[in-house]
Amino acid sequence: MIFQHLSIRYKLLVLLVSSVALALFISSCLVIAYTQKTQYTHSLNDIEQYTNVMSTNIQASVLFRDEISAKKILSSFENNSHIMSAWVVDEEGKPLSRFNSQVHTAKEVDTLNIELESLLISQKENLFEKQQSYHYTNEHAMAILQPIVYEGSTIGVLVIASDTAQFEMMMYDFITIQFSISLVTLGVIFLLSWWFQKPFITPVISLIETFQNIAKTKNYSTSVALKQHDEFGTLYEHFNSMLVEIKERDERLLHLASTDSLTGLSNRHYAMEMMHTLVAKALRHQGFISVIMLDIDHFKNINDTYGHMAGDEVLRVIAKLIIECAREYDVVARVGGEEFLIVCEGCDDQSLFVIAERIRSTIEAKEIRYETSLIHVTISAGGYVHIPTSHNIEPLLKIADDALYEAKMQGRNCVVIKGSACA
Amino acid sequence: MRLIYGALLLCFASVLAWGSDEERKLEAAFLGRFANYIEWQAKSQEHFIITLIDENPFGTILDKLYVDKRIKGKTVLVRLVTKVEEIGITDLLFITLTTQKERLEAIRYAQEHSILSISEARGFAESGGIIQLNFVDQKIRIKINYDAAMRSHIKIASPLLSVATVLQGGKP
Repeated sequence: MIFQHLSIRYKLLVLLVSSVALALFISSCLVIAYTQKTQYTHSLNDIEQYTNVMSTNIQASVLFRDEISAKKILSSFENNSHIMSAWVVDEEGKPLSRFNSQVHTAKEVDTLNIELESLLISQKENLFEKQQSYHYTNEHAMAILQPIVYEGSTIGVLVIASDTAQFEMMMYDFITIQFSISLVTLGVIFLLSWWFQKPFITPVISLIETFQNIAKTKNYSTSVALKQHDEFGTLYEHFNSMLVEIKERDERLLHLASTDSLTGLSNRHYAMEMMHTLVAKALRHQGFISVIMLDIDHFKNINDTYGHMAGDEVLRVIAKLIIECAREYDVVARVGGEEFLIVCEGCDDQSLFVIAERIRSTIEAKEIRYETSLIHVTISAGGYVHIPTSHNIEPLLKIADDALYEAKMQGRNCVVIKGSACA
Repeated sequence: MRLIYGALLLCFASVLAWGSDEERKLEAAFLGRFANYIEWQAKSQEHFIITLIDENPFGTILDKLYVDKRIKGKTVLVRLVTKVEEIGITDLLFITLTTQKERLEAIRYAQEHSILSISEARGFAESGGIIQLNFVDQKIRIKINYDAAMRSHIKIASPLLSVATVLQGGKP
Protein backbone atom coordinates (compact mmCIF):
# COMPACT_ATOMS: atom_id res chain seq x y z
CA MET A 1 0.00 0.00 0.00
CA ILE A 2 1.56 3.25 -1.19
CA PHE A 3 -0.80 5.16 1.11
CA GLN A 4 0.81 3.61 4.20
CA HIS A 5 4.23 4.85 3.13
CA LEU A 6 3.06 8.42 2.65
CA SER A 7 3.81 11.03 5.28
CA ILE A 8 0.92 12.18 7.43
CA ARG A 9 0.94 15.50 5.53
CA TYR A 10 0.22 13.72 2.23
CA LYS A 11 -2.13 11.23 3.84
CA LEU A 12 -4.21 14.13 5.12
CA LEU A 13 -4.06 15.79 1.73
CA VAL A 14 -5.02 12.60 -0.11
CA LEU A 15 -7.83 12.02 2.39
CA LEU A 16 -9.26 15.51 2.03
CA VAL A 17 -8.92 15.70 -1.73
CA SER A 18 -10.23 12.17 -2.33
CA SER A 19 -13.18 12.81 0.00
CA VAL A 20 -14.06 15.98 -1.89
CA ALA A 21 -13.50 14.27 -5.24
CA LEU A 22 -15.82 11.45 -4.22
CA ALA A 23 -18.44 13.91 -2.98
CA LEU A 24 -18.15 15.91 -6.20
CA PHE A 25 -18.36 12.76 -8.30
CA ILE A 26 -21.50 11.54 -6.51
CA SER A 27 -23.17 14.96 -6.57
CA SER A 28 -22.21 15.47 -10.24
CA CYS A 29 -23.62 12.07 -11.17
CA LEU A 30 -26.86 12.82 -9.34
CA VAL A 31 -27.12 16.30 -10.86
CA ILE A 32 -26.34 14.97 -14.36
CA ALA A 33 -28.85 12.14 -13.98
CA TYR A 34 -31.49 14.56 -12.71
CA THR A 35 -30.72 17.10 -15.45
CA GLN A 36 -30.79 14.41 -18.11
CA LYS A 37 -34.20 13.27 -16.91
CA THR A 38 -35.65 16.77 -16.65
CA GLN A 39 -34.12 17.95 -19.92
CA TYR A 40 -35.41 14.88 -21.71
CA THR A 41 -38.86 15.62 -20.33
CA HIS A 42 -38.35 19.27 -21.25
CA SER A 43 -37.46 18.33 -24.84
CA LEU A 44 -40.53 16.11 -25.03
CA ASN A 45 -42.59 18.95 -23.60
CA ASP A 46 -41.27 21.22 -26.36
CA ILE A 47 -42.48 18.76 -28.97
CA GLU A 48 -45.75 18.40 -27.08
CA GLN A 49 -46.18 22.17 -27.24
CA TYR A 50 -45.54 22.07 -30.97
CA THR A 51 -48.12 19.35 -31.40
CA ASN A 52 -50.67 21.18 -29.23
CA VAL A 53 -50.30 24.40 -31.18
CA MET A 54 -50.01 22.63 -34.50
CA SER A 55 -53.01 20.37 -33.91
CA THR A 56 -55.15 23.46 -33.32
CA ASN A 57 -53.73 25.24 -36.36
CA ILE A 58 -54.08 22.27 -38.62
CA GLN A 59 -57.53 21.28 -37.38
CA ALA A 60 -59.35 23.16 -40.14
CA SER A 61 -57.06 21.66 -42.77
CA VAL A 62 -57.86 18.17 -41.55
CA LEU A 63 -61.52 19.01 -41.06
CA PHE A 64 -61.85 20.18 -44.65
CA ARG A 65 -59.22 17.77 -45.93
CA ASP A 66 -57.13 20.54 -47.38
CA GLU A 67 -53.74 19.10 -48.20
CA ILE A 68 -52.35 22.39 -49.45
CA SER A 69 -53.00 24.37 -46.28
CA ALA A 70 -51.90 21.37 -44.18
CA LYS A 71 -48.65 21.26 -46.12
CA LYS A 72 -48.23 25.01 -45.70
CA ILE A 73 -48.68 24.71 -41.93
CA LEU A 74 -46.32 21.75 -41.62
CA SER A 75 -43.69 23.46 -43.76
CA SER A 76 -43.24 26.02 -40.96
CA PHE A 77 -40.92 23.36 -39.46
CA GLU A 78 -38.40 24.11 -42.21
CA ASN A 79 -36.96 26.70 -39.85
CA ASN A 80 -36.46 24.14 -37.12
CA SER A 81 -33.40 22.05 -37.95
CA HIS A 82 -34.22 19.49 -35.25
CA ILE A 83 -37.64 18.44 -36.57
CA MET A 84 -37.09 15.29 -38.62
CA SER A 85 -40.61 14.83 -39.84
CA ALA A 86 -44.13 16.11 -39.26
CA TRP A 87 -47.21 14.63 -40.81
CA VAL A 88 -50.89 14.40 -40.44
CA VAL A 89 -53.39 11.63 -41.22
CA ASP A 90 -57.17 11.87 -41.50
CA GLU A 91 -59.71 10.00 -39.43
CA GLU A 92 -59.22 6.89 -41.57
CA GLY A 93 -55.48 6.97 -41.06
CA LYS A 94 -54.79 8.09 -44.63
CA PRO A 95 -51.91 10.55 -45.00
CA LEU A 96 -53.07 14.09 -45.66
CA SER A 97 -49.76 15.91 -45.73
CA ARG A 98 -46.17 15.29 -44.74
CA PHE A 99 -43.09 17.35 -44.04
CA ASN A 100 -39.69 15.65 -44.13
CA SER A 101 -36.55 17.40 -42.97
CA GLN A 102 -33.91 18.20 -45.55
CA VAL A 103 -31.31 18.54 -42.80
CA HIS A 104 -31.40 14.88 -41.86
CA THR A 105 -30.64 12.07 -44.29
CA ALA A 106 -33.54 10.53 -46.17
CA LYS A 107 -32.63 7.16 -44.73
CA GLU A 108 -32.84 8.44 -41.17
CA VAL A 109 -36.19 10.11 -41.81
CA ASP A 110 -37.65 7.15 -43.70
CA THR A 111 -36.59 4.66 -41.03
CA LEU A 112 -38.17 6.82 -38.35
CA ASN A 113 -41.36 7.34 -40.38
CA ILE A 114 -41.73 3.59 -40.90
CA GLU A 115 -41.49 3.05 -37.15
CA LEU A 116 -44.00 5.81 -36.48
CA GLU A 117 -46.43 4.51 -39.12
CA SER A 118 -46.37 1.08 -37.53
CA LEU A 119 -46.96 2.78 -34.17
CA LEU A 120 -49.91 4.62 -35.62
CA ILE A 121 -51.45 1.29 -36.55
CA SER A 122 -50.65 -0.44 -33.26
CA GLN A 123 -51.84 2.55 -31.20
CA LYS A 124 -54.95 3.23 -33.29
CA GLU A 125 -57.36 2.45 -30.47
CA ASN A 126 -55.59 4.75 -28.00
CA LEU A 127 -55.22 7.57 -30.52
CA PHE A 128 -58.62 7.52 -32.22
CA GLU A 129 -60.95 6.10 -29.59
CA LYS A 130 -59.34 6.98 -26.26
CA GLN A 131 -57.88 10.19 -27.76
CA GLN A 132 -54.63 9.66 -25.88
CA SER A 133 -51.42 11.06 -27.26
CA TYR A 134 -48.45 8.70 -27.56
CA HIS A 135 -44.83 9.52 -26.80
CA TYR A 136 -42.19 7.67 -28.71
CA THR A 137 -38.46 7.78 -28.04
CA ASN A 138 -35.46 5.94 -29.33
CA GLU A 139 -31.72 6.53 -29.18
CA HIS A 140 -31.67 9.30 -31.77
CA ALA A 141 -35.22 10.62 -31.96
CA MET A 142 -38.32 11.47 -29.99
CA ALA A 143 -41.83 11.85 -31.33
CA ILE A 144 -45.37 12.58 -30.26
CA LEU A 145 -48.50 11.22 -31.92
CA GLN A 146 -51.30 13.62 -31.06
CA PRO A 147 -54.99 13.06 -31.90
CA ILE A 148 -56.71 16.03 -33.58
CA VAL A 149 -60.08 16.28 -31.92
CA TYR A 150 -63.11 18.06 -33.31
CA GLU A 151 -66.36 18.15 -31.33
CA GLY A 152 -65.33 15.14 -29.28
CA SER A 153 -64.30 13.04 -32.28
CA THR A 154 -60.83 12.31 -33.55
CA ILE A 155 -60.61 13.67 -37.07
CA GLY A 156 -56.94 12.87 -37.56
CA VAL A 157 -53.56 12.39 -35.94
CA LEU A 158 -50.65 14.77 -35.99
CA VAL A 159 -47.18 13.24 -35.76
CA ILE A 160 -44.13 15.38 -34.96
CA ALA A 161 -40.70 13.79 -34.66
CA SER A 162 -37.55 15.53 -33.53
CA ASP A 163 -33.95 14.42 -33.28
CA THR A 164 -32.17 14.36 -29.91
CA ALA A 165 -29.23 16.47 -31.12
CA GLN A 166 -30.36 19.55 -29.18
CA PHE A 167 -30.79 17.48 -26.04
CA GLU A 168 -27.45 15.74 -26.58
CA MET A 169 -25.69 19.06 -27.26
CA MET A 170 -27.18 20.59 -24.14
CA MET A 171 -26.22 17.56 -22.04
CA TYR A 172 -22.72 17.67 -23.52
CA ASP A 173 -22.43 21.37 -22.59
CA PHE A 174 -23.85 20.69 -19.14
CA ILE A 175 -21.48 17.78 -18.47
CA THR A 176 -18.53 19.87 -19.73
CA ILE A 177 -19.48 22.76 -17.44
CA GLN A 178 -20.12 20.37 -14.54
CA PHE A 179 -16.77 18.68 -15.11
CA SER A 180 -14.97 22.04 -15.35
CA ILE A 181 -16.62 23.32 -12.17
CA SER A 182 -15.74 20.07 -10.38
CA LEU A 183 -12.14 20.35 -11.56
CA VAL A 184 -11.84 23.97 -10.42
CA THR A 185 -13.50 23.09 -7.09
CA LEU A 186 -11.09 20.20 -6.66
CA GLY A 187 -8.17 22.52 -7.39
CA VAL A 188 -9.41 25.07 -4.86
CA ILE A 189 -9.99 22.32 -2.31
CA PHE A 190 -6.48 21.01 -2.97
CA LEU A 191 -4.98 24.45 -2.30
CA LEU A 192 -7.17 24.96 0.76
CA SER A 193 -6.27 21.48 2.02
CA TRP A 194 -2.60 22.26 1.52
CA TRP A 195 -3.11 25.44 3.50
CA PHE A 196 -5.30 23.99 6.22
CA GLN A 197 -3.18 20.88 6.84
CA LYS A 198 -0.39 23.13 8.18
CA PRO A 199 -1.98 23.79 11.60
CA PHE A 200 -2.37 20.01 12.01
CA ILE A 201 0.92 18.93 10.56
CA THR A 202 3.30 21.61 11.91
CA PRO A 203 2.91 20.54 15.57
CA VAL A 204 3.42 16.89 14.58
CA ILE A 205 6.48 17.76 12.50
CA SER A 206 7.82 19.90 15.35
CA LEU A 207 7.32 17.00 17.78
CA ILE A 208 9.02 14.55 15.41
CA GLU A 209 11.99 16.92 14.94
CA THR A 210 12.34 17.26 18.73
CA PHE A 211 12.24 13.46 19.06
CA GLN A 212 14.92 13.08 16.39
CA ASN A 213 17.06 15.78 18.01
CA ILE A 214 16.82 14.11 21.43
CA ALA A 215 17.58 10.70 19.93
CA LYS A 216 20.67 12.16 18.27
CA THR A 217 22.03 14.34 21.09
CA LYS A 218 20.60 12.52 24.13
CA ASN A 219 19.91 15.96 25.45
CA TYR A 220 16.79 15.66 27.54
CA SER A 221 16.97 19.32 28.52
CA THR A 222 15.32 20.09 25.19
CA SER A 223 11.65 21.05 25.25
CA VAL A 224 9.01 21.79 22.64
CA ALA A 225 7.88 25.41 22.49
CA LEU A 226 4.30 25.56 23.79
CA LYS A 227 2.32 27.64 21.29
CA GLN A 228 -0.80 25.55 20.87
CA HIS A 229 -3.81 25.69 23.16
CA ASP A 230 -5.53 22.62 21.76
CA GLU A 231 -4.90 18.88 22.02
CA PHE A 232 -1.44 19.45 20.57
CA GLY A 233 -0.75 21.90 23.40
CA THR A 234 -1.70 19.21 25.93
CA LEU A 235 0.49 16.71 24.05
CA TYR A 236 3.41 19.15 24.12
CA GLU A 237 2.90 19.80 27.82
CA HIS A 238 2.91 16.08 28.62
CA PHE A 239 5.86 15.55 26.31
CA ASN A 240 7.89 18.29 28.06
CA SER A 241 6.94 16.87 31.48
CA MET A 242 8.08 13.47 30.31
CA LEU A 243 11.42 14.93 29.15
CA VAL A 244 11.93 16.55 32.57
CA GLU A 245 11.14 13.23 34.28
CA ILE A 246 13.54 11.36 31.99
CA LYS A 247 16.24 13.92 32.66
CA GLU A 248 15.77 13.67 36.43
CA ARG A 249 15.70 9.89 36.30
CA ASP A 250 18.88 9.81 34.19
CA GLU A 251 20.62 12.14 36.62
CA ARG A 252 19.47 9.99 39.51
CA LEU A 253 20.65 6.82 37.78
CA LEU A 254 23.94 8.45 36.81
CA HIS A 255 24.47 9.56 40.39
CA LEU A 256 23.65 6.09 41.68
CA ALA A 257 25.89 4.47 39.09
CA SER A 258 28.86 6.79 39.62
CA THR A 259 28.80 7.54 43.35
CA ASP A 260 29.85 5.64 46.40
CA SER A 261 26.82 5.71 48.64
CA LEU A 262 28.83 5.78 51.91
CA THR A 263 31.25 8.58 51.23
CA GLY A 264 29.59 10.45 48.41
CA LEU A 265 32.77 10.14 46.35
CA SER A 266 32.86 8.72 42.84
CA ASN A 267 32.89 4.93 42.74
CA ARG A 268 35.43 2.70 41.06
CA HIS A 269 33.41 2.31 37.85
CA TYR A 270 33.08 6.07 37.37
CA ALA A 271 36.74 6.62 38.26
CA MET A 272 37.83 4.10 35.63
CA GLU A 273 35.65 5.78 32.99
CA MET A 274 37.05 9.16 33.91
CA MET A 275 40.59 7.78 33.76
CA HIS A 276 39.98 6.50 30.23
CA THR A 277 38.71 9.93 29.23
CA LEU A 278 41.59 11.79 30.85
CA VAL A 279 44.21 9.39 29.45
CA ALA A 280 42.77 9.87 25.98
CA LYS A 281 42.88 13.63 26.44
CA ALA A 282 46.47 13.54 27.79
CA LEU A 283 47.48 11.27 24.92
CA ARG A 284 46.03 13.79 22.46
CA HIS A 285 47.82 16.75 24.09
CA GLN A 286 50.92 14.86 25.27
CA GLY A 287 50.13 16.06 28.82
CA PHE A 288 50.59 14.55 32.26
CA ILE A 289 48.15 12.14 33.71
CA SER A 290 48.82 11.32 37.37
CA VAL A 291 47.16 9.08 39.90
CA ILE A 292 47.43 8.67 43.67
CA MET A 293 46.42 5.39 45.30
CA LEU A 294 45.65 5.92 48.96
CA ASP A 295 44.96 3.42 51.74
CA ILE A 296 44.01 3.93 55.40
CA ASP A 297 46.62 2.37 57.66
CA HIS A 298 45.41 -0.39 59.94
CA PHE A 299 41.82 0.20 59.10
CA LYS A 300 40.90 -3.31 60.22
CA ASN A 301 41.94 -2.39 63.76
CA ILE A 302 39.54 0.56 63.76
CA ASN A 303 36.67 -1.71 62.77
CA ASP A 304 37.70 -4.25 65.33
CA THR A 305 38.18 -1.67 68.10
CA TYR A 306 35.33 0.73 67.52
CA GLY A 307 33.01 -1.27 65.36
CA HIS A 308 31.97 -1.02 61.73
CA MET A 309 29.86 2.07 62.32
CA ALA A 310 32.96 3.85 63.51
CA GLY A 311 34.84 2.51 60.49
CA ASP A 312 32.14 3.97 58.22
CA GLU A 313 32.39 7.31 59.99
CA VAL A 314 36.19 7.25 59.54
CA LEU A 315 35.73 6.58 55.81
CA ARG A 316 33.27 9.48 55.51
CA VAL A 317 35.61 11.91 57.29
CA ILE A 318 38.65 10.75 55.30
CA ALA A 319 36.68 11.21 52.06
CA LYS A 320 35.75 14.70 53.05
CA LEU A 321 39.34 15.56 53.91
CA ILE A 322 40.63 14.19 50.59
CA ILE A 323 38.10 16.32 48.72
CA GLU A 324 39.22 19.36 50.66
CA CYS A 325 42.88 18.68 49.98
CA ALA A 326 42.61 17.71 46.31
CA ARG A 327 42.25 20.23 43.56
CA GLU A 328 38.75 21.17 42.53
CA TYR A 329 39.00 19.42 39.19
CA ASP A 330 40.70 16.22 40.41
CA VAL A 331 38.71 13.00 40.34
CA VAL A 332 38.45 11.51 43.83
CA ALA A 333 36.99 8.03 44.14
CA ARG A 334 36.64 5.26 46.69
CA VAL A 335 37.85 2.19 44.83
CA GLY A 336 37.88 -0.39 47.61
CA GLY A 337 37.08 -0.90 51.32
CA GLU A 338 39.57 1.65 52.62
CA GLU A 339 41.28 2.45 49.34
CA PHE A 340 40.93 5.77 47.49
CA LEU A 341 42.05 6.91 44.07
CA ILE A 342 42.82 10.46 43.02
CA VAL A 343 43.25 11.17 39.30
CA CYS A 344 45.03 14.45 38.56
CA GLU A 345 45.13 15.89 35.10
CA GLY A 346 48.18 17.92 33.98
CA CYS A 347 49.99 17.34 37.23
CA ASP A 348 53.76 16.77 37.37
CA ASP A 349 55.57 14.76 40.09
CA GLN A 350 56.19 17.74 42.38
CA SER A 351 52.59 18.91 42.27
CA LEU A 352 51.40 15.35 42.75
CA PHE A 353 53.64 14.95 45.77
CA VAL A 354 52.35 18.23 47.21
CA ILE A 355 48.74 17.08 46.83
CA ALA A 356 49.44 13.63 48.29
CA GLU A 357 51.45 15.01 51.15
CA ARG A 358 48.77 17.62 51.91
CA ILE A 359 46.22 14.88 52.14
CA ARG A 360 48.44 12.67 54.30
CA SER A 361 49.39 15.47 56.74
CA THR A 362 45.82 16.77 57.01
CA ILE A 363 44.50 13.29 57.87
CA GLU A 364 47.35 12.68 60.29
CA ALA A 365 46.50 15.93 62.06
CA LYS A 366 42.79 15.11 62.23
CA GLU A 367 41.23 13.45 65.25
CA ILE A 368 37.99 11.81 64.30
CA ARG A 369 35.26 11.88 66.91
CA TYR A 370 33.07 8.91 67.14
CA GLU A 371 30.62 8.89 70.06
CA THR A 372 32.87 9.40 73.02
CA SER A 373 36.07 8.31 71.30
CA LEU A 374 38.64 10.24 69.34
CA ILE A 375 40.11 8.16 66.59
CA HIS A 376 43.46 8.93 65.08
CA VAL A 377 44.22 7.55 61.61
CA THR A 378 46.99 7.79 59.07
CA ILE A 379 47.18 6.94 55.42
CA SER A 380 49.78 5.65 52.99
CA ALA A 381 49.86 7.01 49.45
CA GLY A 382 51.52 5.92 46.24
CA GLY A 383 51.55 8.13 43.19
CA TYR A 384 52.50 7.82 39.58
CA VAL A 385 53.16 10.63 37.12
CA HIS A 386 52.97 9.67 33.49
CA ILE A 387 52.78 11.02 29.93
CA PRO A 388 50.67 8.29 28.31
CA THR A 389 51.68 6.51 25.11
CA SER A 390 48.55 4.36 24.88
CA HIS A 391 44.94 4.29 26.05
CA ASN A 392 45.66 1.46 28.46
CA ILE A 393 45.18 2.58 32.09
CA GLU A 394 46.19 -0.71 33.71
CA PRO A 395 49.95 0.09 33.88
CA LEU A 396 49.15 3.44 35.43
CA LEU A 397 47.11 1.86 38.19
CA LYS A 398 49.59 -0.96 38.64
CA ILE A 399 52.58 1.38 39.13
CA ALA A 400 50.59 3.61 41.49
CA ASP A 401 49.60 0.52 43.44
CA ASP A 402 53.24 -0.54 43.55
CA ALA A 403 54.15 2.91 44.91
CA LEU A 404 51.47 2.51 47.59
CA TYR A 405 52.90 -0.87 48.47
CA GLU A 406 56.31 0.75 48.81
CA ALA A 407 54.88 3.41 51.11
CA LYS A 408 53.37 0.67 53.25
CA MET A 409 56.71 -1.11 53.32
CA GLN A 410 58.42 2.10 54.35
CA GLY A 411 56.39 2.07 57.60
CA ARG A 412 53.10 3.64 56.47
CA ASN A 413 51.95 7.25 56.93
CA CYS A 414 54.12 8.32 54.02
CA VAL A 415 53.96 9.19 50.32
CA VAL A 416 55.87 7.51 47.49
CA ILE A 417 55.72 9.07 44.04
CA LYS A 418 56.92 7.28 40.94
CA GLY A 419 56.77 8.39 37.44
CA SER A 420 58.07 8.03 33.88
CA ALA A 421 58.20 11.83 33.82
CA CYS A 422 60.21 12.07 37.10
CA ALA A 423 63.85 12.98 36.95
CA MET B 1 -72.94 -7.92 -76.46
CA ARG B 2 -75.58 -5.41 -75.51
CA LEU B 3 -75.99 -7.28 -72.27
CA ILE B 4 -72.30 -6.84 -71.52
CA TYR B 5 -72.42 -3.14 -72.36
CA GLY B 6 -75.45 -2.84 -70.19
CA ALA B 7 -73.70 -4.55 -67.28
CA LEU B 8 -70.60 -2.37 -67.68
CA LEU B 9 -72.72 0.75 -67.83
CA LEU B 10 -74.53 -0.33 -64.69
CA CYS B 11 -71.20 -0.89 -62.90
CA PHE B 12 -69.86 2.51 -64.00
CA ALA B 13 -73.08 4.20 -62.93
CA SER B 14 -72.94 2.51 -59.53
CA VAL B 15 -69.32 3.60 -59.07
CA LEU B 16 -70.27 7.15 -59.93
CA ALA B 17 -73.27 6.91 -57.62
CA TRP B 18 -71.06 5.62 -54.84
CA GLY B 19 -68.56 8.43 -55.47
CA SER B 20 -71.37 10.93 -55.51
CA ASP B 21 -72.87 9.47 -52.35
CA GLU B 22 -69.53 9.75 -50.53
CA GLU B 23 -69.09 13.29 -51.75
CA ARG B 24 -72.57 14.20 -50.55
CA LYS B 25 -71.88 12.78 -47.12
CA LEU B 26 -68.64 14.78 -46.93
CA GLU B 27 -70.41 17.91 -48.20
CA ALA B 28 -73.15 17.41 -45.61
CA ALA B 29 -70.56 17.12 -42.88
CA PHE B 30 -68.84 20.24 -44.15
CA LEU B 31 -72.01 22.32 -43.72
CA GLY B 32 -71.98 21.68 -39.99
CA ARG B 33 -68.23 22.13 -39.81
CA PHE B 34 -68.43 25.54 -41.51
CA ALA B 35 -70.69 26.70 -38.71
CA ASN B 36 -67.87 26.33 -36.19
CA TYR B 37 -65.80 28.91 -38.01
CA ILE B 38 -68.63 31.34 -38.71
CA GLU B 39 -70.01 34.03 -36.45
CA TRP B 40 -73.49 35.31 -37.23
CA GLN B 41 -75.35 38.28 -35.91
CA ALA B 42 -77.29 37.23 -32.84
CA LYS B 43 -80.42 35.32 -33.75
CA SER B 44 -83.11 34.27 -31.37
CA GLN B 45 -84.46 31.10 -32.96
CA GLU B 46 -84.47 27.87 -31.03
CA HIS B 47 -82.81 25.71 -33.70
CA PHE B 48 -79.85 26.03 -35.97
CA ILE B 49 -81.68 26.08 -39.27
CA ILE B 50 -80.25 24.71 -42.52
CA THR B 51 -82.43 25.62 -45.44
CA LEU B 52 -82.14 23.99 -48.86
CA ILE B 53 -83.68 25.93 -51.66
CA ASP B 54 -85.08 24.33 -54.82
CA GLU B 55 -83.84 20.74 -54.56
CA ASN B 56 -82.44 18.47 -51.87
CA PRO B 57 -79.34 16.75 -53.32
CA PHE B 58 -78.57 15.16 -49.90
CA GLY B 59 -81.68 13.04 -49.66
CA THR B 60 -81.88 11.86 -46.06
CA ILE B 61 -78.16 12.37 -45.39
CA LEU B 62 -78.54 15.71 -43.63
CA ASP B 63 -81.40 14.54 -41.44
CA LYS B 64 -79.55 11.42 -40.42
CA LEU B 65 -76.27 13.27 -39.85
CA TYR B 66 -77.65 16.03 -37.66
CA VAL B 67 -80.50 14.24 -35.92
CA ASP B 68 -78.63 14.00 -32.61
CA LYS B 69 -76.05 16.72 -33.18
CA ARG B 70 -75.90 20.32 -32.05
CA ILE B 71 -74.46 23.28 -33.95
CA LYS B 72 -73.64 26.41 -31.98
CA GLY B 73 -75.28 24.73 -29.02
CA LYS B 74 -78.58 24.35 -30.81
CA THR B 75 -80.38 21.35 -32.24
CA VAL B 76 -80.38 21.26 -36.02
CA LEU B 77 -83.45 21.75 -38.17
CA VAL B 78 -83.23 20.98 -41.90
CA ARG B 79 -85.82 22.64 -44.14
CA LEU B 80 -86.51 22.48 -47.88
CA VAL B 81 -88.08 25.44 -49.69
CA THR B 82 -88.71 26.07 -53.37
CA LYS B 83 -88.97 29.84 -53.51
CA VAL B 84 -86.96 32.73 -52.06
CA GLU B 85 -90.07 34.05 -50.34
CA GLU B 86 -90.28 30.82 -48.37
CA ILE B 87 -86.79 31.08 -46.93
CA GLY B 88 -87.77 33.01 -43.81
CA ILE B 89 -85.43 32.84 -40.80
CA THR B 90 -82.43 30.60 -41.33
CA ASP B 91 -78.73 30.37 -40.54
CA LEU B 92 -77.45 28.55 -43.54
CA LEU B 93 -78.87 28.54 -47.03
CA PHE B 94 -77.80 25.82 -49.44
CA ILE B 95 -78.71 27.01 -52.89
CA THR B 96 -79.36 24.54 -55.71
CA LEU B 97 -81.31 26.95 -57.88
CA THR B 98 -80.41 26.41 -61.50
CA THR B 99 -80.84 29.85 -63.01
CA GLN B 100 -78.47 32.74 -62.38
CA LYS B 101 -81.35 35.14 -61.80
CA GLU B 102 -82.88 32.99 -59.09
CA ARG B 103 -79.53 32.45 -57.45
CA LEU B 104 -78.83 36.19 -57.36
CA GLU B 105 -82.21 36.74 -55.78
CA ALA B 106 -81.48 34.14 -53.13
CA ILE B 107 -78.02 35.65 -52.57
CA ARG B 108 -79.49 39.10 -52.07
CA TYR B 109 -82.01 37.71 -49.59
CA ALA B 110 -79.23 35.95 -47.70
CA GLN B 111 -77.13 39.13 -47.54
CA GLU B 112 -80.03 41.15 -46.23
CA HIS B 113 -80.84 38.60 -43.50
CA SER B 114 -77.28 37.69 -42.45
CA ILE B 115 -77.52 34.16 -43.80
CA LEU B 116 -74.55 32.03 -44.80
CA SER B 117 -75.10 31.20 -48.44
CA ILE B 118 -73.53 28.03 -49.88
CA SER B 119 -73.76 26.56 -53.33
CA GLU B 120 -72.03 24.23 -55.75
CA ALA B 121 -72.92 26.41 -58.71
CA ARG B 122 -70.00 27.66 -60.78
CA GLY B 123 -69.34 31.40 -60.36
CA PHE B 124 -71.42 31.39 -57.15
CA ALA B 125 -68.76 33.13 -55.03
CA GLU B 126 -67.93 35.59 -57.77
CA SER B 127 -71.59 36.53 -58.06
CA GLY B 128 -71.91 37.41 -54.37
CA GLY B 129 -72.44 34.07 -52.66
CA ILE B 130 -70.35 33.44 -49.57
CA ILE B 131 -69.13 29.84 -49.91
CA GLN B 132 -68.78 27.89 -53.10
CA LEU B 133 -68.08 24.15 -52.86
CA ASN B 134 -66.65 22.15 -55.72
CA PHE B 135 -65.29 18.64 -56.05
CA VAL B 136 -62.13 18.43 -58.11
CA ASP B 137 -60.44 15.03 -58.49
CA GLN B 138 -62.62 13.70 -55.68
CA LYS B 139 -61.32 16.40 -53.39
CA ILE B 140 -63.41 19.25 -52.17
CA ARG B 141 -62.40 22.80 -52.97
CA ILE B 142 -63.74 25.74 -50.98
CA LYS B 143 -64.04 29.26 -52.36
CA ILE B 144 -65.07 32.08 -50.03
CA ASN B 145 -66.19 35.57 -50.97
CA TYR B 146 -64.92 37.48 -48.00
CA ASP B 147 -66.52 40.80 -49.03
CA ALA B 148 -69.87 39.10 -49.40
CA ALA B 149 -69.50 37.68 -45.90
CA MET B 150 -68.73 41.12 -44.54
CA ARG B 151 -71.71 42.60 -46.33
CA SER B 152 -73.86 39.90 -44.73
CA HIS B 153 -72.42 40.82 -41.30
CA ILE B 154 -70.93 37.35 -41.07
CA LYS B 155 -67.46 36.84 -39.65
CA ILE B 156 -65.36 33.94 -40.90
CA ALA B 157 -62.56 32.64 -38.70
CA SER B 158 -59.06 32.52 -40.13
CA PRO B 159 -58.68 28.69 -40.01
CA LEU B 160 -61.54 28.38 -42.45
CA LEU B 161 -60.12 31.12 -44.62
CA SER B 162 -56.77 29.34 -44.54
CA VAL B 163 -58.18 26.23 -46.19
CA ALA B 164 -60.15 28.13 -48.81
CA THR B 165 -59.56 30.23 -51.87
CA VAL B 166 -60.61 33.63 -50.65
CA LEU B 167 -62.03 36.28 -52.95
CA GLN B 168 -61.40 39.76 -51.69
CA GLY B 169 -62.12 42.88 -53.76
CA GLY B 170 -63.52 40.54 -56.41
CA LYS B 171 -60.12 38.83 -56.83
CA PRO B 172 -58.71 35.59 -55.37
